[in-house]
Amino acid sequence: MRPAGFSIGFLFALGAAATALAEGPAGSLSSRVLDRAASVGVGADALAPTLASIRGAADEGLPADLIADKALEGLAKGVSPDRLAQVTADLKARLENAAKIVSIAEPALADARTRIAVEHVAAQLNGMQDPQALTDLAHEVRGIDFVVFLTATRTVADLAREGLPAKEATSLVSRLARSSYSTEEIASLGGQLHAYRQEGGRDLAPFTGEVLRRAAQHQSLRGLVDPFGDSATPIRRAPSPDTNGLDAKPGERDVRGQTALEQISNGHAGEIPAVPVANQPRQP
Amino acid sequence: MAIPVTRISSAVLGLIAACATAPAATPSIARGEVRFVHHAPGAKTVGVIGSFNGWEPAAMQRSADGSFQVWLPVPPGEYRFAFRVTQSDGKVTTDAPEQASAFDDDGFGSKNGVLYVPFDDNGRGNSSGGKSSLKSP
Repeated sequence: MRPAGFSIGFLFALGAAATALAEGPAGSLSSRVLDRAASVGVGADALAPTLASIRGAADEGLPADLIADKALEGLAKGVSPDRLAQVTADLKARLENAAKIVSIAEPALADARTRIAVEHVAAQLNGMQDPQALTDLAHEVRGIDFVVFLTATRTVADLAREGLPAKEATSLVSRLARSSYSTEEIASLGGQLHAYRQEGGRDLAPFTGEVLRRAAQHQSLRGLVDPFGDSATPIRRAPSPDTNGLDAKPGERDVRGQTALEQISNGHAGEIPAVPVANQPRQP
Repeated sequence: MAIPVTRISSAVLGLIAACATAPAATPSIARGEVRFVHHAPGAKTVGVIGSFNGWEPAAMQRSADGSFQVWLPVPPGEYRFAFRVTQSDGKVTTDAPEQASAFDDDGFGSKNGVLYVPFDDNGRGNSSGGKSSLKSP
């Protein structure tokens, strides 16, 4: 045992903890991280950059607890302090970017909603190849309903992850967000594009084309994908009112799973009405 | 009484996530508790870590089939989680879950499972049993 070394280390940790406590909310977050670090054998000095990210985020009015939580996660997973410093710095940068995006779209949000929006947008930015898309979206939907905005950012990120070019995703979603579609329908697009690709759809143009076609006719966005189709474009084309419902292309199915020929055979052509969906955002 | 921001956040984000995510196998929920299961036949111990418990490992019990299981109370909300596995030789690893509503890049070179514990119609935790669902980001 080395009493002198122990004492110096102990005093250093004590000093760091005391400093953290003196820093208010950021200090208590830092203390929690320091305590956990000590329990897994990570020294306070090695955590200085991570603690600086926590403190910096708090100073900027960002949700510093998210950075502290990421630090706790890293410590639980045995991540090296250097890697932890990098990941927490990246998270702080995403939160800063998210705050800018939110301020563009919703400049007059109350504090609680700002926190929710910043957390949500930062999560969408994680791993996004073209983060500028969300800034563009914020400009496009500026002043829009809070929940619609959150839904739109999520949907753009989901569509981009499924391979839709970010610019195209932004354009598509901003158009839907400004229309009367419910948040549920807009949010479903990411899952539907995923299903489309799972069914073998490679060319994304038929998918976005059908979305735009339905949007132009105020039709429901549900049931875009044909799970039983055998074509390379497994799309269910919703019938157009002006074509009496007979607009499913050869080999494609409508929202009821019928081809154009089946519609005629079953006498159901034109029965399915357009489904305008009222936007019913759920305010928290 | 004001509703805490975290509950609002969970409700809003969970709603969006639930709409955005394709159905997937998820941990079971019953009476406000979530059942976590992880298959790790050679492991000495396994703990579940997540944003619901401050990433402090909660011990899991070994089952006859080699899996580890635990029921934990988890308030309604959206969470990230993984498993901390200690092998018989003392080596510690982190495993992504096999079942989750979705998976997220954890930034450390692995993935976290995403768990959404829904509110009931009265804004309380789900106590009727069933499956958790999502979503996200």
